[in-house]
Order: sequence, then structure tokens, then C-alpha cells
Amino acid sequence: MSPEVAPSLSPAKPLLEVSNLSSGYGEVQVLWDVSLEVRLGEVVALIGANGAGKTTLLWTVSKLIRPWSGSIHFDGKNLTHASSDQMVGAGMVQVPQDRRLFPGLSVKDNLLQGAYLRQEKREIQSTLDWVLEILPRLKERLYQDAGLLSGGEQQMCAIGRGLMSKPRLLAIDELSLGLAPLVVDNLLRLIIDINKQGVTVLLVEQDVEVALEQAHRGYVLETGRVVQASKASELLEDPRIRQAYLGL
Amino acid sequence: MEAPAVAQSAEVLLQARSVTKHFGGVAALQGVDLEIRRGEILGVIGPNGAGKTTFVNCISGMDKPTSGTILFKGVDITHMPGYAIGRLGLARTFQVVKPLRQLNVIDNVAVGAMFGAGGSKRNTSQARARAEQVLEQVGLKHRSTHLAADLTLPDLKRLELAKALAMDPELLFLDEVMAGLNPTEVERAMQMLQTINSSGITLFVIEHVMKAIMGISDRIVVLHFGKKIAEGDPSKVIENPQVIEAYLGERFAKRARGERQKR
Repeated sequence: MSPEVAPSLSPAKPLLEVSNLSSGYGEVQVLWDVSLEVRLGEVVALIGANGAGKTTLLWTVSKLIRPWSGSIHFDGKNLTHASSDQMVGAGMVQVPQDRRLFPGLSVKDNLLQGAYLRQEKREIQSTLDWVLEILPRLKERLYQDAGLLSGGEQQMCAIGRGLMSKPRLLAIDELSLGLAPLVVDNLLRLIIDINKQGVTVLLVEQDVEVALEQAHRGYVLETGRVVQASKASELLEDPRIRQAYLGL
Repeated sequence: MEAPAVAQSAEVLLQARSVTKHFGGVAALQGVDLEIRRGEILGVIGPNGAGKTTFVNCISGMDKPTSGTILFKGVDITHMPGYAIGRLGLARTFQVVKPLRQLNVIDNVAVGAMFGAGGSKRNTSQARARAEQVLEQVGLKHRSTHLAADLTLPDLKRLELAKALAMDPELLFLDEVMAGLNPTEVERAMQMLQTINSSGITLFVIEHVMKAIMGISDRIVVLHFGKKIAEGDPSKVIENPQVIEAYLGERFAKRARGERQKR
């Protein structure tokens, strides 16, 4: 079982289109006129220093905070004023930075939370089978308390929960945070695998080298503004990026 | 070129002998022997759940080992309460940050200044003065009057470091203070740790950020399933097949080699 989206790499078709977006918290503006697109089938990396606005951008696109101005289109539809559950319904799903599992609930119940908008039991079961097939470790832990998982397993569970809604675009905030190198390596393979199965990916990652090695394209965010957008391979070679973000 | 590691003959500042910790049926630490030498930066790596944080908890008095002995400056601290261990000159940070959220930044740090090795002699204003110095050192001075609850995660990590430094420790345990920093920010944090180390503070650094571990450690210890599986010179440790299999993976082993060569 795989999601409906064909792994088309047609470069023209944007799945997520953010135009001139501004937002923030209370009276503090964080994003200034941000424009960005994620095309169907792509892996796009979003890089930038701490405090640059990466998480705020994901939160605004997911409607956890309200856009102040600008527009958000998803699959051609204007969803600037949609609610967060409507975004999920449209196929835009976020794996949040600190994973935010429900401790006290089993791994299975945590995964099922990801399908909370879906009705058809049989289809939910087949998505669950698919998720457990690509994340076999979760199968071993299915009836354990999610609060007792290791860091890497928690991240797998958060990604699995995201996949349970059959997303078209999966936005992952800080994939590698606090995880051992080998675990990060396995998660990267997983992301590539998910992408090959047709899920478009927007990746926020502090390990800029890792992010750009996996991505097709990348955006650089500085103090709430997009300052650069190009092919990931070009960003990796860019002397300014290497100095500012890779410490080279 | 590799910086000369602290000589084998350097004073042993902390000695852990056969430290074991059980949680119910789970053996989180199984007979770990470990020495920390005065003046060194000891890097500690290992998979999530290997027992790294449990080890620090046992040393710092947050937890008591099920068996084994811990000597700090020759004093048996195995059963000492945490505050007494702090007074002796040992401090730590917490991986999951533990600020006093309703206090402002400077008072958070002043608490550390009154708690640690130099603490008993300080009154409140002396403690605040010490806090101010430390905030300057970790680059958090501009947040002095902010409530801890309002800080971003990277600033909370800095606060965690500041609280511990204000205790004037001889030995400082750092539990993943670099998680969530990008490579350039890591670079700056590495410089900060090296400055702290050259001021005479011995460092025990738990970190998954290999750039940092490879860049600053004089020695590395690897824990896996509560046991020490490797120890020694960083460039040798990362070539250890067991370490690559359990922790690094080939991709990151390759990168870690590059980091070491840059040194």
C-alpha cells in the first residue's frame, strides 16, 4: 500500500506555494515577505540559523499560527485562511520539532492519532500496515508506552503518525535533533524511501550538510527572510553558505 | 596536527569504579570503570539509551548507583547528596533543560553562584556579580532581565551552561549542550568550551554532534548498553569496528575522520 500520489517529478507543478508571507507572535514579526514553493515529488531543505524563522514558517503553513499577510496555496487551492485540520485534510502534515508524542498512550494509539480525520476503518488499517512495513521497529513496539521509546524510536513514531494521514507533503522539523549518527543515517534512508513512494518532503534540519545532500532544492532563511533559493547541490558548493552554515 | 592529549600521568580528578545502575530489571550501567584526568576534555558518545545520562546522574548525586564507587579528588562521593558534591567542585548541565522558569536569567545563574564551590562565601549581590561575568562569557548578557520561561531553546542551553559555570566547578559535565545548533553555531560553542577548558575546568562532554566531539576531545569513551566498549584517542576510537557498527554508521564515520584531520 502506498499513497495515491504518483512519484512524478514534473518540475513545473508546485504542491505548496507560499507567497509574500508574513507572520509572528503577538506583536513580534518573525517572517517578512517569505515566498517559497515545494514541487510535487521533491525533497526541499529549509536551512537557517536558530531564530531565523524556520519553525515559524512551518507553523504558519500548518496554521498553528495565523498568517498576517501573503498567501498559501496547496495543490492549486488558496488555503491562506484554512484551519489547521483543513491543512491536514488537504495533505499538508507536520512532524513537529520535539516530536510531541502522547506519553501514556501506546505506539499504536499514537500512530492512530495521525488518522484522526479519516473515517474508513479498513483504509486506516491498510495505511497502518504500510507504516509498519517501512518502520518495522515500531511493529516490535506497537503495544508499548510511547513515552518509553528511545529518542530514535520516538522520531520514527512521530514520522509514522504523520504518514497515517496519507500526507502529500510531509514537513519534518529537526529530523536529527539529539539522535545518534547511525540513527540519523537510518532516518535519512527512510525519508528517501518515503519520498520515492510519492510523498513530497520539506525538511528543516540543523545538520545543513546532511539536509542538502538529501534534498533536490534548498531555501536559506535569515532573520525571517528568504535570502537564497537554489539547487541543493549548488548551495552545498556556495562559499557563503559553506562559511555561514557549514562552518567550513 | 593533533593537540597533545593530557599526559597519562596527569592527576586523576574523578574515578568511577565498576559503577552499576539498575532500574527494576533494566541494567542501565553495567560495571563502568572510568577515569577523568585533570585538565582534559573527555568526549562521551554512545547510542540513545546507552547509559550516558544515567552515568552523569550517578556521579552528580541525582541518582545513586546500585553498586560501585565514585571518587572525586580522592573523596568517596558515592553516597553524598548532590549539593555536597556541588560544593566540592563538580557541576553539570541537563539535557532536558531545567531553568527556574519564573526567575529572570541573571537570578537563575546567581542561584548557581551561591550553590557551587565558591557559593557559601557569597551574598546575593556578590552572586549576581558573578552571574553577570558568566552571562558575558556564554553570550547571554543581553537576556539578563528576561524571564527564563521566555527564552528560545538555544538560549536555554546557554543558560544551562551558565548556571553550571557559576558554580565555579573544577569538573563540569555537559549533557548535549549543542543539540539543535547548526554547524556554524556548533563551531562557536566549541570555541567557548575550549576557552572554558583552558581556564582550568576539566570537561566531560556528552554529544552526538560528531564535529564537536572530534574537534575538542582529548580522549573519547564509548558507552553501549551500559558498558564501556571503547576508550582512547579520538582518531582510533572512530575506526573501531564495534563503534562504527553500534553508533556511527559508515556515512558518519567517514565524516568524523574528516573532522579529525581538519584539527
